[in-house]
Amino acid sequence: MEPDSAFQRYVQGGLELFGIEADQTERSVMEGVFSVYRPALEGLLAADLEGVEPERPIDLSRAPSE
Amino acid sequence: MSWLDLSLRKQGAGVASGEIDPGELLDACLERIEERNGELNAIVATFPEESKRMLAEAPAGPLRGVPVVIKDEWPLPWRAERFGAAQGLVEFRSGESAPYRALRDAGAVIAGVANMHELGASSTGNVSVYGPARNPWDSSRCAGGSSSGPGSAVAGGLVAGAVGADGLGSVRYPAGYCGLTGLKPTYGRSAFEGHHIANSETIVSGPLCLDAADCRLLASVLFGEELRAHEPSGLRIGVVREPLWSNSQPGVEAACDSALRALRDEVGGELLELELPELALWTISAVLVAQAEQSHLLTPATLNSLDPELSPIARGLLKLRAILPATATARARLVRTKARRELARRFEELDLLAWPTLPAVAPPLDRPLVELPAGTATADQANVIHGAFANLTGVPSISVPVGLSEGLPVGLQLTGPWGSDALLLDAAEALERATEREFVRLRAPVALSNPATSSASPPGMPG
Repeated sequence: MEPDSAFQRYVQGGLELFGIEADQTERSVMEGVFSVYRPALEGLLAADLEGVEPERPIDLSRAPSE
Repeated sequence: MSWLDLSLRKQGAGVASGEIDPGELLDACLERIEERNGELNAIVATFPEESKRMLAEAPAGPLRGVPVVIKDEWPLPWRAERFGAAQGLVEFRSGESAPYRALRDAGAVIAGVANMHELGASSTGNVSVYGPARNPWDSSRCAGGSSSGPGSAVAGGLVAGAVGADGLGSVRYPAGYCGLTGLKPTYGRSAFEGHHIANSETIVSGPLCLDAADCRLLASVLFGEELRAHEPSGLRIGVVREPLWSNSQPGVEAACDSALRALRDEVGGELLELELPELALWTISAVLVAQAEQSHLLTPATLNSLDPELSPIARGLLKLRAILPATATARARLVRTKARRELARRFEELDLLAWPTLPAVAPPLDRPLVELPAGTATADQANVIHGAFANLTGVPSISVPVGLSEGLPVGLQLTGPWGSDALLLDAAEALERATEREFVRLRAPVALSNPATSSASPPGMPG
């Protein structure tokens, strides 16, 4: 089946590129999940993270030290 | 009523004083599982000989002779976990996980392994290789995930306490849906060693119990240190109305609001409205950080040989994870740092944050959608924003029962700064006092029916 959305083309290309097989049901799951999280993912990719210095080292059991 | 229906601490005290025969208590527990599990599917394995061996070798400890269950996420010396799935990304092996050792060393008796959502991948619990665990309040409803079996087992009266695991809310969601108290500890504070995702930055073990005092007891066992009780006073409680309260079902919002005001009055505290404008960003970041934890195993060879008994949902999710852009995960880690700094600043002026554990009551197993003021959503989509940021940042969080809506339990979630686990339990106990324990005394219909005909019963009580 020819992909009819950018996401379907991305999935088909990505799976083909890496030789990963996926049946139609699995592709439908991927599309459904992606559609739910797409706005948040786009928000993440667009977020202003300029100047955010990583914690070194990160200790998740405590408040950040810096 | 049976001794089995008492709290963990009363069972422990009864065994210690000689009032309860722990052998009879274990027999009653196994009998109860036999009676009720057909309806609940909470327990996926029992092993009476191993349980009896644990009892025979139980050291003196706070839970000596008390039966509990443990989620199918933790290996036992005689049983490898299955993670609710036909196949994991690693080979599961039996062994002494740290939660097992903690229970054993406290004298507890593991009576069974509790069901969970397949691969821990949902807040609903409606998919499992064993079939779904069912909500004791309505067996057509989700018990919550991914610790569905622990929630169902405790709310169904099979045991008084269970050990789950929480990676994106997986202790708190079933606690909320099943009317229990469930603690997601501060990252790294509770027993973890032996989990098959050894490098997890999000998963912690945590207790699900009938009330906060039992949660304190079981959490102390998992922490390896006593979480002492204190009288909280003057708590400054942050309330994030948008979207966590405003997009909850009216019955959920009303129950939580009433309970929160009762807590405020009990501790002489104050409610302070605030906004967390980047909460949506924190949520997707939590999902991405968590999903990346085993992504090095998502090779084409692995993905092309997945067990056909894995659900299509699990297979699709695994394959999607393999092709998500790494940029997103890298940015999610930066967001985590930003979120932790933002939270640390907030907690300089606040003691707790409060909002509904879940925006809706438990949805049907066969249609896990929820109707919210903003419209219809999948339960996972709606739930994750309420729970995941605690895992992203490492802070502790607790779900406490605050009543019913549409005949189903509602939970209020309290979140505190790193290391405030005892404070969360103090607040939960204060809330119980403020409401005269009305909500922790509520029992699911199945927990009130078909009492085990065991001799392990309090004197003067039937059966």
